[in-house]
Amino acid sequence: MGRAIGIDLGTTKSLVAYVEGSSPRVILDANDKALLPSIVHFGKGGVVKVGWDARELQADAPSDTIASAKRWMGRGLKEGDLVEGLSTYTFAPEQQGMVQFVVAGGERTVTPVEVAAEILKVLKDRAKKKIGEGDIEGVVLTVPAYFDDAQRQATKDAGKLAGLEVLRLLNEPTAAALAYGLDTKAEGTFAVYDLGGGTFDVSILKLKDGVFEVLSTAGDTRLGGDDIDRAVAEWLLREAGIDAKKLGPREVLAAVDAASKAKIDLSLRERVLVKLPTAEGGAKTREFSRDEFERVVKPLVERTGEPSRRALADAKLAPDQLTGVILVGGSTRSPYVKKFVKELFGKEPLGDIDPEKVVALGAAIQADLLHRGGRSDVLLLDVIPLSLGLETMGGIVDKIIFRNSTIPASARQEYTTFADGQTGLDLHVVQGERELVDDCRSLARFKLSGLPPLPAGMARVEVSFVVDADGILKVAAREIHTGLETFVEVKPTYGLSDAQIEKMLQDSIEHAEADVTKRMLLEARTEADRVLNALEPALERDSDVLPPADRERIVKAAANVRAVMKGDQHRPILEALEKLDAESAEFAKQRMDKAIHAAVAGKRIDDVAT
Amino acid sequence: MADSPKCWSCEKPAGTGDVCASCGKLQPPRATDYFAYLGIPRSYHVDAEKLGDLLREKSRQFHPDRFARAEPRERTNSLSHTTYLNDAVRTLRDPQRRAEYVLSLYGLKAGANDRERAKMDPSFLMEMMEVRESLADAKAAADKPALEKIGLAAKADRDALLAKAEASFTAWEKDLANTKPLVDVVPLLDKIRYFEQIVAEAAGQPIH
Repeated sequence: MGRAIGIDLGTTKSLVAYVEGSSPRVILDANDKALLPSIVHFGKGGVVKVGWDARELQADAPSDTIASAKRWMGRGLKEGDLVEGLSTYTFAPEQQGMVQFVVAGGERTVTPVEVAAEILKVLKDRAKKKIGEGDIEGVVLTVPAYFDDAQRQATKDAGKLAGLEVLRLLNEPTAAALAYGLDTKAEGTFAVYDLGGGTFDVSILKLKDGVFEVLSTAGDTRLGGDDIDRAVAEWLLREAGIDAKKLGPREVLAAVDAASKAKIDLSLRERVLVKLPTAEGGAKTREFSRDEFERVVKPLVERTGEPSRRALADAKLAPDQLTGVILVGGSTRSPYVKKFVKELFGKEPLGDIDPEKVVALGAAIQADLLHRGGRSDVLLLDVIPLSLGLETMGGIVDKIIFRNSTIPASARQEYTTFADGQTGLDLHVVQGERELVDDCRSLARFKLSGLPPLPAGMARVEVSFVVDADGILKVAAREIHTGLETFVEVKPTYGLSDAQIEKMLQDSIEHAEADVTKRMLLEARTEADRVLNALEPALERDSDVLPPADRERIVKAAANVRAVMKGDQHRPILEALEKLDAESAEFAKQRMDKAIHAAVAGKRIDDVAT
Repeated sequence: MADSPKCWSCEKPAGTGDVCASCGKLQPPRATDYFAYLGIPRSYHVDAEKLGDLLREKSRQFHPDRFARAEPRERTNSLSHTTYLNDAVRTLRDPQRRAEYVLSLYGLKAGANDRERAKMDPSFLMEMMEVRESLADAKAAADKPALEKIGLAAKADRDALLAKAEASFTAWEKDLANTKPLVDVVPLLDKIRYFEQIVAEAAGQPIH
């Protein structure tokens, strides 16, 4: 019988693990190394080298040797400020929204998906050798919890390209919690702080009776050890008076490598000597202290604070309610990061976990579990990272499923028609945290047509959202009286870049107040429009039920609504509406009686009115 | 059992349980409301611990991961069960959503639109305007202590209203002759929404 394996496809390093007997194990290579550098070298004549071999070639052929391909998964070129920093790659024009690296001395181009697939193939072969008989029958690949749909899809494609059956994409912090929880039999509420090579995730989980329930998640898909290395390299070059822009790819790489080495050495020592390359081919040596290092990385590390606090708030928890903090990712080995996490959560992080292996171990456990068709004693419950909603009149977003809802999930909302005799309703599905449609990501548009022609507000349309266990959204709309239905399947975050996600979330916090004021005004105006649109034709048609004095009062109140609508305050509009409502209550009642009477008699309202 | 639905798989009477009485295959969810589904009494008063236990217990039973190797029809039923379960727990965990849900089971609707809210107690609306103004001022001045103060005050007001709503539910549920109107809870819930928003904004959270 074959096996299922778990792979942690990291930004800088990757690992593979499987379950032997009942415990997960990381599989080592021929040199007893667990970590495989996520680096692929594409040489001339179709030569491909992966991992340590590729790393050795990096200095000599920097543009043919792709590192950190994960940062480019499911992303277009213009979506990154990445190219503006220190980069050693040559890019070809995008294809189908995917980045293309020019490699093999200009012989060919590769996409990040192909680069990732090469890494996965090596890990698959490693697992095959270890496991021996039988085949690899499935894999669980891990992704950052805050990865969007395009990034997830790209990761899944890489798995397929490597000839693997992807059983599930698993969120990295959830995988870490699974491995830690099963290993230690821990119960309680844990924060997983995952600062890897290129991404930051924070998840809050409740562990009880073998169920791993994610309460909330937040993150930054563009923050990791890579950024720290680059920031340190840039700072050191500047301090040494070296113009980074004049450096070739080889020198840039040497500077980043020197920065990375200094970072690691400074974990143990107070000061180190760093050798920096100059544009003229020489070298400058500079002393670098731990204090300086901490000053340089402070702003980067502090960026993890905001998502962490948000995750806690979403889980409705205070730091002191946490049982423990689990550190994941190589970057958390840094004493400075540990100190920051301790202050952030008010707790010494747990020290008995290997932060670089725990994700792969968790992936192996989940792979084994799915391969066997489930285990009654272990279960993962995960959430969606961003809210899903619909555009309503006036460009306002009605959130239908909120972020951090446990998936699978569903929700329904009822809408009504805006104008008399309206037979169609346009539906616009969006994702994001802001109140206004223009600030959210558009996912899909569709139309429910063929509604029965009824007076405004009388047709009732129920829209339902369903998110399945894989995070895929389906939307359906149904007219309640006639049962008329339409469906659309949308991938919730397809094409939404992580930068967009973060920006949207950030903006939503900054603009919360402005949004509310604007939203209230828009709602008031929309409501006024709706009322006037329904009332004015009715006054024309049904004036027979109305004494002239009443009619005059209604007309006056309506004119007042129209006048205040032009202002930028919502309250006067609401007050004017209230007055109009009071004046026209009796008329509305009589009109409704008439409509119902007409409906009973089997005639359309318009026939009766004329 | 005459009223027992037929099992989709073995076509024998499936019984009233979640799995077929004859062949043990998972049936679609049949409960008509969240309380019936979870097997707890229909009441505003729910035990949060118990809800968590039920979520875990039923997830273990129904989650799609447990049916990864099952046939498509059973996988679909597993998805329906888990979705309904998650919706039920999400609704009943939150006091405000729970209150609105209980009301809806009795045909009452809270969560009015702005026009209906405008009919609320004018002094309350005036108070809200003032709170909003001070919130806007504190935000503009990035005055953290003031924001915190506003947030805490709104939280206290919200909790007081929730306690009132809870008391109304308690009285109503005890009143077997149904002489007390449950509809009194509706304006309380509408007011709670105002405070809820202020709490969220004062904390710098995106608004739901």
